Amino acid sequence: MHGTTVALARSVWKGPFFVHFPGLAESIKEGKAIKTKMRSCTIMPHMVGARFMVHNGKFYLPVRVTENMVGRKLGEFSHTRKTFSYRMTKNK
Amino acid sequence: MLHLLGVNLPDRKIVLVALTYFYGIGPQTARKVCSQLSIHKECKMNELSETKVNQLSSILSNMTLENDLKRKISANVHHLREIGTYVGKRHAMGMPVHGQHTLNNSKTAKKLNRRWLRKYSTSSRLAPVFGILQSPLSNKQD
Repeated sequence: MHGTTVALARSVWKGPFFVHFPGLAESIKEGKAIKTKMRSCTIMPHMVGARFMVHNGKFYLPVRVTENMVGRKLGEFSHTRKTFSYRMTKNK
Repeated sequence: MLHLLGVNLPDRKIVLVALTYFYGIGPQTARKVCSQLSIHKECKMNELSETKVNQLSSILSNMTLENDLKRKISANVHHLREIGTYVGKRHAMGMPVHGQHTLNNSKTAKKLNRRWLRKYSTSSRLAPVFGILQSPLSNKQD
């Protein structure tokens, strides 16, 4: 069922891709947000509790890391698209 | 009619086809199961011997099928939604998840995607919430 996803997955010997954030310990302790553009950084167990501001191409959006998020990428939580909402008049 | 794990398998069907009546078994998996039990391509359900049927049911009972599978998928989607990923959001919106175009079409996603968050809600955390929502209605009926 998931044959292709397994075939196209990252090599196991490389391990997950992640970045060392210098202010990580501080962020977990004091709740100071880390500004980052590394959307492709995998969330590792030691990052749980940290606060990030993840770039979505335009703004830095707040992401609070919880246990459930481990194994996902930071970018998945900072949405890049605006939801379309219809407006009757152009002036408003 | 052969009744296996809550699904009726018609006698006159070829085994390969009849197996696909299960939710979670397509042609590919059906072929695998058949080759595992050395059932030939054109064998029909009523031609199966009793031992073969027993073997078949034992194999099927070890697989995640029907409601178990639906519950599993639903739980996965719920998890994605709860942690706030883009994929979960797309599921909730009933839009395609894998970056397909949405200018027109995307019919399948519109039809299917939202249902995982609606039905089969069996996660224990949501159960009390639904209980509260349903309780006024049940009181009225009483």
